[in-house]
Amino acid sequence: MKAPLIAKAVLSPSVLLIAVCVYGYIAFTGWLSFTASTMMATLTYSGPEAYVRLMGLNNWVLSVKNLGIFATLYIVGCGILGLLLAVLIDQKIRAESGFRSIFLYPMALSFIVTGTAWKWLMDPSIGLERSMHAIGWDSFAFGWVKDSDLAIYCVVIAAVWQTSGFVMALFLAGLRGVDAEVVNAARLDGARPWRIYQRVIFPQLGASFISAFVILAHMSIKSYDLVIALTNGGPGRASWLPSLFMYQYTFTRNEMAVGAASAVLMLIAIAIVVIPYILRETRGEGRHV
Amino acid sequence: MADLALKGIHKLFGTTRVLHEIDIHLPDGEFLVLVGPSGCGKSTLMNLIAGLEEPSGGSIELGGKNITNVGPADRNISMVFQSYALYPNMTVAANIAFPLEMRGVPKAERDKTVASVSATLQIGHLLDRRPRQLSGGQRQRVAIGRALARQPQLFLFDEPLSNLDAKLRVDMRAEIKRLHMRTGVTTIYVTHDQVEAMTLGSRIAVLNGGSIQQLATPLEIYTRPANRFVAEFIGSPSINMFDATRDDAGELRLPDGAVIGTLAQGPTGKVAVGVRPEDLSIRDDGQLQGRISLVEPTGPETYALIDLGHTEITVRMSGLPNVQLGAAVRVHVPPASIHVFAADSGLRLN
Amino acid sequence: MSERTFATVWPRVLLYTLLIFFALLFAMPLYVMLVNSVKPLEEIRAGDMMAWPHELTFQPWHDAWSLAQIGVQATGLKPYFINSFLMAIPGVAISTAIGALNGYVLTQFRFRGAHLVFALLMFSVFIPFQIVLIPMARTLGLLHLAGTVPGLVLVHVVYGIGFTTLFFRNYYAAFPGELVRSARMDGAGFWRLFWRLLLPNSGPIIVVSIIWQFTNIWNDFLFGASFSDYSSFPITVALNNLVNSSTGVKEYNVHFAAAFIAGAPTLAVYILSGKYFVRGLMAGSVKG
Repeated sequence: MKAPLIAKAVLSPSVLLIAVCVYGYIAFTGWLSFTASTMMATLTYSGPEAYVRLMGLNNWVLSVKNLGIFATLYIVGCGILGLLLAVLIDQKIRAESGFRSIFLYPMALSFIVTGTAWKWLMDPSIGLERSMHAIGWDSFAFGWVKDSDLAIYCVVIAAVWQTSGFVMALFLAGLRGVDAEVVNAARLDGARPWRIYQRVIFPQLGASFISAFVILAHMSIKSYDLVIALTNGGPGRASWLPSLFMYQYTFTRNEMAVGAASAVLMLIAIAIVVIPYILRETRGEGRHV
Repeated sequence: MADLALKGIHKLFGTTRVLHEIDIHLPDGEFLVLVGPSGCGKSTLMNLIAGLEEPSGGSIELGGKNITNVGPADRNISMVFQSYALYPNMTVAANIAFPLEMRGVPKAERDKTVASVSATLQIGHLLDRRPRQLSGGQRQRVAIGRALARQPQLFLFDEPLSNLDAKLRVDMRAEIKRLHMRTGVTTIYVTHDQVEAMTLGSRIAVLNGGSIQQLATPLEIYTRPANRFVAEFIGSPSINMFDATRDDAGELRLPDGAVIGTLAQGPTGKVAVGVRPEDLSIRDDGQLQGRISLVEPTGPETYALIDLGHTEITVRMSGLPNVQLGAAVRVHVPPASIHVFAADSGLRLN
Repeated sequence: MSERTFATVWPRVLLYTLLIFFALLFAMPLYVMLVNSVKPLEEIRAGDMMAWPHELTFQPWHDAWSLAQIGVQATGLKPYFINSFLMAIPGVAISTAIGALNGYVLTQFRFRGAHLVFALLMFSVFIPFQIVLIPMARTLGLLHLAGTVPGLVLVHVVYGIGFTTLFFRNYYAAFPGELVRSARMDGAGFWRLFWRLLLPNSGPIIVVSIIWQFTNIWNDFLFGASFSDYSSFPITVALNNLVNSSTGVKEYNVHFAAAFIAGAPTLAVYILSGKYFVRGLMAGSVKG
């Protein structure tokens, strides 16, 4: 039915809000990144200075490098662990919903909550290292969280723990979408269980792999809460990520233009990953409606 | 020799008994059709024979070898599934070659087999396509090709034609029959369509509620159904059933008093009497009396529905006879054409 | 039967061992949090974080709730717990209601640009929220909502509309068209169609939306840290404040108790909601 005025009226507030508070604000921040704003926002155009300055900042380079490490390990780690857990749970086990609940509960908690738990767990003076010494493993050392080079890996561990359950749920849904008769055909054709997964089941999980990748990639770029709670960017600035950089430079160091520029780059990175995905999803819809 | 022997096979799902004491002996090269309504256990039986599920008791032997505990991969049995179950991520050629690949057959030989199988089924031009690019009939052939490629000792077909449209179904039915004549491989074919059952099998096993109602040639199943269920299941339009009473003299009397036939030996009291529509005829000297309530001409034949007061029957006539809606008529029942069944057990009495 | 049973038993043993191993690994941080929240501080410092308490004390919980120093005030988490509820309840209700109406309009009516609107809404869900912080801070200032709970409610509603619209849109897209058509033929107008037909049949997706929004809003930190002040901190900001304050002795047990208090509501929602939680996760990610 063609939309009557009332329908458009009902939709308009949301359209307006999104237009202003999402796209309008993006444009504003984008504009700011081309100004010379420091503590307060000025709106006069002054060229791409902020970007130039940004690229030259050690803090930014470090943040981006950390993001590379973090995102790669996070995506691969969650992917492998999530797939493994999904395959295990798909084996018609008893207490399936119990196991699923345990793997998924971290997703219900705030990163601040879980970051707090992991923070002390990883602290060498009271955490895991101490526990291992207490049971006699004296040479065990886990001071990563205090080590400039290794702190980011602690964030990876906590992040993989938090999100693997979600990836597991994704893959489980994908596995259950595989036609059972095709698996039966493979059994009759002589394929051993591992081969069935490799040749018949995993190739059909393409959509799940893509969804998992897109969501994990965008989450890693946005990662903020977990780092704050776990290491607060430390030791020093060793575990900074672009999200922390943006917050610090905008609100604490009074370099608004540089902060805005970093936010714009974060947006572009996400857009590169997400836009093709959205186009695929909405184009498919177009055919049905 | 690839003869199949099922001895005492039964299957429980939890506490529900799904199959009861199935005994079948199938000589090498025979084409057996398993037919029955949904839920009768035929798919379960197929899965047991294929090794996809374990029986709760009984044994299975193929070619003299006991395969009850052998996994599906090692039974040398091929199956064509109702949904074809083709590997969606592989080409047609890869689909057909897959079972050979799993057995370690070298590439050159695999390619040869794929070529010859696809030639037999006329799908050689489809080898590079994926299943989603094929029509239903084409997917069918690929599924059969994959089953053929292994040269198994036993073929299982699980309702392979039910997803095809009517015309294609008729064509494929003939193709499968010709294929069997050419390869001579022992075959079990499951269907719920009794026309397929009658035309394809050298023998038919009628299943209901997890047990075999009758295992015999199509002709025998049609002319001498072993029980009421078989009589009513096979035959289209279905057999006419009457509730009758047998008196001491052996006469079978209908509720309105008419005598439909005699049964020399048997219980007195209630029985069920069946007569096929084509055995009845509208004649002035008929035993039954009624009024024509509906006339259905189909072209080569005409069905007349006749209301006898206590029940309604169908009479099948050839051509386009002159029958009047509402006319009072008499229907003749030839004495040799009646099938008498016990009222309680449904077992055949004559 | 023995051949087969041996071959199937051994992998099952391995399977359950692996599952139990991972289950313990996943449960470990929660266990650590609970167990250490009831230990006296000396025990934590002296010993083993994984060990069962020798001495049991609930003082850390009491401290976390009403005595702990958060920022300049020693009020414990209680006021901030309340703030989070005051922020979450309206946020959830309003964004869900708007999402339902949007989903309705986007699926039951044709108009130019419907797909564009949907795509733009979908994209809004993925943006890094850092990019809206500066202008939103300004806007809240202009509206005199800076540093207030209503300000936070506004922010969460605005950025929650994308998700809730997505949920309802996918749900209503699968709603039987014949029911809608026959209701229209019976004379149902815009509002009646929504109130009497679609909404009463939306139970599952309303639950999904509520659970998802509650979890997201309650767990949010970035908006809380950016747009609230000491009077309006949500509990996540208060918790972080408590834990990361560098002055004085680190009372780990209080931190753990506080973390558990902060996490309890969403954990409870998760446990009670079961499959709806998973549906929410899936609805946002795989095409429904």
